[in-house]
Amino acid sequence: MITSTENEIRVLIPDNGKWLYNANVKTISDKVYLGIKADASEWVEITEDEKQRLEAEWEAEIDNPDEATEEDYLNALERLGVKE
Amino acid sequence: MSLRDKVEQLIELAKLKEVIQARIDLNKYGNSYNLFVFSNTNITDVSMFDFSKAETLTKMFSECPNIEKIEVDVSSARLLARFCYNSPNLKKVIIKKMTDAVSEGDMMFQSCGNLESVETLNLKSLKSYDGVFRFCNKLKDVGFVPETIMRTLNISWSPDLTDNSLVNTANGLNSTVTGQTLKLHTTSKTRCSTIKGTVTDGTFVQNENGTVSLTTFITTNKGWTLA
Repeated sequence: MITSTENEIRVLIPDNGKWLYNANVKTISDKVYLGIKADASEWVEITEDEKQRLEAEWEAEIDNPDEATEEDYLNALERLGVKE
Repeated sequence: MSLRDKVEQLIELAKLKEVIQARIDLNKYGNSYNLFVFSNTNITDVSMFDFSKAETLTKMFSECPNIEKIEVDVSSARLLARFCYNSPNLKKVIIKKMTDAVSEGDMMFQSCGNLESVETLNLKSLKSYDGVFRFCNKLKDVGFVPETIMRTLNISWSPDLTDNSLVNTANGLNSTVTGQTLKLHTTSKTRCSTIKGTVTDGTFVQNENGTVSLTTFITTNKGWTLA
């Protein structure tokens, strides 16, 4: 990983073929401009394989939406004053 | 169609509108049900409805394949998770009066592959907004209430954000929080270095003759990491 400065901003660039990963903010990046008080040690290098594994994990975390049940609709109709 | 038939048809339509409006109004926070009123429907126009009393707008316009534009007053809203989730032809969303009372916004616009414009978001009190713009590949214009982005925001699926949107997003970042990251598409991130301006009262104003880059404004003035 290369740490440099651009216009007084600390910049992190991963080695060729690698990515930067920050577990605290679940973010993977190809170049990071650090905030003025940011902790550079939060960013670690990961490989392309690790990147793909993490992204697959995050995709899997996307839960299925809760669907309204028949009971939900019956409750709603009752509140609307609709009777069978 | 006779005049009488037409009148009866209009009456039926009017009732339908009343019922739908009642369902919208019934979407109260904390109710055991959630009606997702227009979710999975072929609705094309919702301008006849008033959403200003609805507290739960979760999935309100999710998976609506035919809707292209939404303009809603969400002044009572508390829940907006999956608000427009996976509505593939949605292009423009105008959100009016989004208040600090909104606490959920996960995946609000996820998988809206043709979404180009969203205004104006207030993320101040949202506990989470994971995936708010995930897979929004065509997003160009996005607007935030200044200083209301409190936690890490990911807009990295959108390479075509305009300069104005990038400036607007930067001004939306809250300057008192620490350890937060703005994640942009590489194209947008690179563009931030080329956008110049001036900073007045903590606000970035784009100006070709300005001496401050948007990247500097984000990292130094706002204290956010740009990734």
